[in-house]
Amino acid sequence: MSTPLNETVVLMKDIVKTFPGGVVANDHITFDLKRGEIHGLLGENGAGKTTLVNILYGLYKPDSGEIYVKGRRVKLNSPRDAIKLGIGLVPQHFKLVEVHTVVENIILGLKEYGFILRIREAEERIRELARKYGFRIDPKAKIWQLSMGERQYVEIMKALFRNADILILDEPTTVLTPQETEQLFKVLKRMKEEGKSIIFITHKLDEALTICDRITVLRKGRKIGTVTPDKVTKVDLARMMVGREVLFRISKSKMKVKAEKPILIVENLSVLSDKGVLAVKNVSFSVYPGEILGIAGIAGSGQEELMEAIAGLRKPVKGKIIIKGRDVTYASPREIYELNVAYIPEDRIRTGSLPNLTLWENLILKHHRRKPLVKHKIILNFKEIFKFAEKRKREFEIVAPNIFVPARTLSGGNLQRLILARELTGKPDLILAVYPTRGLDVGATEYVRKVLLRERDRGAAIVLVSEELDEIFQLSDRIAVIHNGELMGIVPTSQATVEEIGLMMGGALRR
Amino acid sequence: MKFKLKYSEKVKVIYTLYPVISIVIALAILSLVIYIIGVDPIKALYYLYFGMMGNYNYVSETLIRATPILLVSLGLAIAFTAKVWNIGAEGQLYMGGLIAAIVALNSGGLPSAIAIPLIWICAGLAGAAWAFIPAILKAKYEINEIFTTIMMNYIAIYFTSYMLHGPLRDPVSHFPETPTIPENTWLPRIIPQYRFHAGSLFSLVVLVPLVYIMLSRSTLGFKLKLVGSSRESARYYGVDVEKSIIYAMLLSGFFAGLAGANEVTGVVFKMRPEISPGYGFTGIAVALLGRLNAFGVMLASIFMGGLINGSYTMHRMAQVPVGVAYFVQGLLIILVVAGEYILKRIMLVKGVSVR
Repeated sequence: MSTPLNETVVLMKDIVKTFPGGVVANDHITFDLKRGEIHGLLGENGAGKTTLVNILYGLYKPDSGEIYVKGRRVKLNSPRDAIKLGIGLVPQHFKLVEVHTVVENIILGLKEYGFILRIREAEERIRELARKYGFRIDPKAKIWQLSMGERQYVEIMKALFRNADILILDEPTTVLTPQETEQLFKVLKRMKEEGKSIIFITHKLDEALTICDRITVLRKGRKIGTVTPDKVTKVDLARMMVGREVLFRISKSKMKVKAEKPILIVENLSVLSDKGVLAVKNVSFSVYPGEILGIAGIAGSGQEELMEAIAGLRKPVKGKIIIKGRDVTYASPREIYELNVAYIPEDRIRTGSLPNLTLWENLILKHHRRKPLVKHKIILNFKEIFKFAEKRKREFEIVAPNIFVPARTLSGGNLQRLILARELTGKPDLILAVYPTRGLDVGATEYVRKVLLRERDRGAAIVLVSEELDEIFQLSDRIAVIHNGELMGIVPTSQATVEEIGLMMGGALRR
Repeated sequence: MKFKLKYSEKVKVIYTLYPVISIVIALAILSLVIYIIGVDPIKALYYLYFGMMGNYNYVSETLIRATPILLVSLGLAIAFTAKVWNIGAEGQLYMGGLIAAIVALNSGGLPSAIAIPLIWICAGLAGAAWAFIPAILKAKYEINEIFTTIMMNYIAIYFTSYMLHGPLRDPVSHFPETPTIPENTWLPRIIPQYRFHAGSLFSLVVLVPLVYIMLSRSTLGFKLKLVGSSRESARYYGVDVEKSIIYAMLLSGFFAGLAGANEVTGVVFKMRPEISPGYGFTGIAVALLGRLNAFGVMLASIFMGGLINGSYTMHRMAQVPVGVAYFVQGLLIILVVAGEYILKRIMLVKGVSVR
């Protein structure tokens, strides 16, 4: 078991994985992990990162290629085999039972703790692990009481508890505040010192450069190269990842003179979540034409519910929503979009589009009652509809063979273009954008951000919800921070610092 | 890549022709069964064909048989477009037939041009009213319409039976049935010597295009499609989902009611407990086989009407049980639903690879 430092613990050689339909997710990828290193796996969505680690974790079988773990050739038929070899996976979406305690979650599925659980024994071991690596967690706490950062620790401990010395972390920082991320990095360094090997999957360049000893960049299923952080710059990495130059600074013009009348006023708004608990607590703010108000917060802090309430999809329990001077607190979604409000929802597939319907059908949604798309009030005017759809498809550069293919055949970026094309028809006065770049690759992200800025410069008022602080800082004129449903304050971007916003996101600072 | 594109195109062609393919497969399985029970399948299939359209009279009979199925399935195509699963067309048909007979028996003095439309409209409304109960339960309380509509069938059929054994019974008949309706309420026959009547002609020439326009070219059809695609999103796009569900259900009930009127005023000229040999259920298969497209539904219902008639001929001439028509119908539902699902999966995967 004991391998000297710098020895290769994992070697994946010439891994090929093709999915049904001919998508080559891994095209002859060779990847190695040394003992005591943090090896970053960097790439855009769909680059094949997750597929590669799923193969290592026994979830997928490769079509060809060899896997060596600690010097021995292995065949992984299921995660059970991987766990036996000391491989642990911390998934992007945590798989914890919320109503159970930390201990219960950690020993879940382990036979050694008996039919009548020897909880106290397990608790002791967990405390020991926590001390060793610097986790601050009460083993008796219920999962739902924990923050996202703490839940991540539970997932990591779950792997350590099973004696994992090879840890795979899949996009671990997505749900963390900047401070929590820093905390996590400390833990990772500690684990590294203990001789653990870590595969760190990310698409964030800064993180890869900060924490990793080596970085392997994947693009479209191929390995582009393995580099060390001291030899490359962020720009180099981005070029490797995307395959072309990427602009990091989108030029933002100065905000024009603030208009007197806000487009959107939210007053003391309280909204319930699906579970019936208060997700938005007494929130007030206004948004003026020609400005972007960024709403920063950890995912799940109430921003989705807030935006749904403004879009008319969720009825508030208290407070007021006023759009262009009209009280729309209890208005229907249709009444709201007829006030020329665009909504770019979080869920592109379920709310943003109808995947089984064609492109043209998706493009005329919301507009299908308007002339000239309709004649004699009830008959669809196909000539005009197709003309309209073709024009939108061209303007927003939606890549698809024609307007008659179902929307589900579009890639994430193209689907977002389609939603933008539909929502931005008719020059909306208010745009509600919820995680508009989530899951998009760098190119598509750049496009969406540019479009949002263009709309702002045209004079639209925009509310932008994002979990990427980069994005918030780049686009917003003012930043509102939400923590646990409460507004912690609104800061002009020019006066805000990442640390301060981070503290506000964590609920430690109010302004 | 070129080869793959060709392959995906092949799948597309198979998908387009799949209703025909599934009929061929069903008939092949039928032949096998006929062979197993000891009859020459070629002979049996010949009589099946002959009974469907061997001469003009059989063609006329096939169209007559197809009409109630067509009416039911046009309505179901509307409901199914919105993914409202009305399994209660049979009951709605019975209520339509019952009301048609009552109105007809009381409109002896009216000229045909008024009496017949009046009967049809009343019957349609009766079918719609019967569908309204499950519709409102579905729209307001999200009660699964499949169960309620199925159960409503039994209520309608037994209620009709009660009416025919009791208040509406023809005092001079040996059977539980209404008296014969007055002749001015009979649907006129179009071609001398043949039973082909105005109800069939009206359904084929007027209602089919009307439903086609409604489903494929109107905002109502678009709305129903949105509701069928995703209720949650449809609500967001400003569609009144509850209202759409009610409309879809009422329209399908209306058409089923018309089917009842068609049988009473065009074929039987009275109301009977066995007015429908399950047209309301056959319509489900037909609506799916016709891919919820009005013209597709038309072709499918003519096929199904012919199949039922043909099975009688096959029974007489080749001693194959009449039940085979329903055997084929059952096979078709499975073949169509399962086959299309598989083909769609393949197309989905291919769609991905083409992208």
